[in-house]
Amino acid sequence: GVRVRRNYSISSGSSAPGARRIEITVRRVPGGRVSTALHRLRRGASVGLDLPAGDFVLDPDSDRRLLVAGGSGITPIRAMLRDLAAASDREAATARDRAPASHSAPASAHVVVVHVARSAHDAIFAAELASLATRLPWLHVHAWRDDRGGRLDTAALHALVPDLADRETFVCGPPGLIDLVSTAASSVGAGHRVHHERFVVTAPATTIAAATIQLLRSDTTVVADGAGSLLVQLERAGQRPAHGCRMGICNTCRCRKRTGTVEDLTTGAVSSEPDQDIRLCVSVARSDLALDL
Amino acid sequence: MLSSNIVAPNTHADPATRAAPVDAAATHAAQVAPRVDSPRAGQPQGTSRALSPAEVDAFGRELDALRQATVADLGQRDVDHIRSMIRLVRYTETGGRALLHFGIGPLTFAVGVTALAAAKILENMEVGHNVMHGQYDWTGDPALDSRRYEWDIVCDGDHWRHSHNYEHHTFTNILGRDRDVGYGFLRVSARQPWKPLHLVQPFGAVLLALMFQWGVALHDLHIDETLTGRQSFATLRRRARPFLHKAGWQLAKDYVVFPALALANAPRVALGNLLANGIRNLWTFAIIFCGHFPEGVQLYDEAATADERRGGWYLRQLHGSANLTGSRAFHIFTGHLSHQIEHHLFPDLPASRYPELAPQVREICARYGQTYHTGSLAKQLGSVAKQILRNALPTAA
Repeated sequence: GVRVRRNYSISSGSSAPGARRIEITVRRVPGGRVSTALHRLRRGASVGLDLPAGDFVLDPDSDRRLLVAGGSGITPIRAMLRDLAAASDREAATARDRAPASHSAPASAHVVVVHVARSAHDAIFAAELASLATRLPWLHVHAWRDDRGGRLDTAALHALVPDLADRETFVCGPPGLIDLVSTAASSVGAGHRVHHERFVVTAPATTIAAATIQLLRSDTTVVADGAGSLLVQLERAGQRPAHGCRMGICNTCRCRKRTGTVEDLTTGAVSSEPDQDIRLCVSVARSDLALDL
Repeated sequence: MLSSNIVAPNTHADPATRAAPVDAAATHAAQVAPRVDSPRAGQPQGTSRALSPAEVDAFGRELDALRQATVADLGQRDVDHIRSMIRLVRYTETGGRALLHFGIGPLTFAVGVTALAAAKILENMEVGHNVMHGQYDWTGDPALDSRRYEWDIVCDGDHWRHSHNYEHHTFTNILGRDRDVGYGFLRVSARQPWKPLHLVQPFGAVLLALMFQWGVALHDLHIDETLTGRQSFATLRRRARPFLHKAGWQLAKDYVVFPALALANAPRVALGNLLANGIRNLWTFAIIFCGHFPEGVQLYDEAATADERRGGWYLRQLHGSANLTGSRAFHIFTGHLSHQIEHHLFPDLPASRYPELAPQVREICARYGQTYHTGSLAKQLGSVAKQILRNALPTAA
């Protein structure tokens, strides 16, 4: 009965067959609230959707691309590939009408995909990528499995993609992978050509010495120590947030936390998901925060 | 939001800094020993054992654990319950209004009034009051959002959230801090100073019962303070603005728009709405007065609660409230305020959980030797009436 919000990449691409349909690909996280619920979803259930957002989109003008996917980061990469494949199919069809040539690589597309996964078992869409690669001559897919080759490093990436410097690079995956690709591209002077999509990783609740609290509505930033309640911290910094009982009963100080982790002192409950409501008078910061105040 | 309404600076310590070590045993024990304030002290209901500070803390921890277990269990059935209540309100209100608008004769009128009154009671008590406490905020459903919900009563939602959720639930039964004790003009305990005006309070109480929604609506305006010169007219005017806005809407809805829609049946509809509002007033008055003013319920001095910790707050909620016995339907029609004790211990837990929590709360209270006030509606109403009559006369504390 709880409404929870998550961001998922559209994995179907914009020109997917039956364009009225949107596909998302959800990896089930053990103990994950939303991913588990989505996997148990029955036909006919209602799911609320918000407008799509983000700037991780293909650059239409580049002719050589590198797509790097790590783990479930394959989902937007797959969408991009499908778009490229569909464009190539259309070009091939028009070309066939004029002269019976087969699937030639469109001049605009030479694509290398590096698909990183922990093991073959963990690799989402591996079979689909392989069949695309067989069908499309302009597509090269490198399947990197950590359990066989160890962790991908810059040397290995350069070996897989010797012309990294000439490519527009799109990477989606865990922060480590994004850093690795950025470093590798920067070393050959192509750092500015790396586009990435980061996953939000929830931080564990650990006591911290100081936290920066961003107050979004008043556009101010307050530095708090990790001990007292947020209400006290804010008041100490000269803020006057609405409040009442100061003991977690009356709900007057409830406000929307946009990002960050807090702990409820009365219950020990940790809130690390974005866009959750918290009560200032009984919450302490466990990371930097952004609040709707 | 509410910030402009909050005038009383809050002197309570922050909970983080509040966890003082257990010490000062003697004074603390004296503080938490409940006072039996009825002149007939010693009757079976009134005697709770005085607890040591360590026991008070342990008592608080047990209730905290109970709260935690319930929070962990919240889910679909709680949402199903409140949504079915919202549907029930819609159906009964639509049905009631239809009978008033299109019905002919006294029978459809009576049924229509009853249905509309039932809808208003359910909306105010089981839906509005509970949603506005934040009992369903965990669902993230905008229709169940405590800060946005506005109920079908002349009282403005933000006024209620301030005077009730904050003042009454934080300072429950503290003389001078909880303005719900006698609503500023009734003497419900011998510990309140007697004034000659109290001689007519039985009539005042009847008037309040009939006009209860107006009493609730005016509560956060602090009119009494303006009358005695403690609040300026300008402040009163500022405070009155949301009330006038809300009350204007309500009056227009019940006595202009709906009657106008009924054309020739306009007088019937206006009268029906008036009666439905009146029935709702009497019922809510009865339930709420039975929750805090029967004999045996404790009042507290502000000084004695100054360094109260969580366990002490729980004890005060327990001894400041009284339950009503009855069927499941009765509990629902009281908005589960028939479980006033559980409501005061856990104001932000879904009220439909109170009947399950009650036996566990009672068991904890029994182990700590604490009285758990409960009785039938008839018995508690009689007790409240007796309190109001007896305290109209200058009796000593």
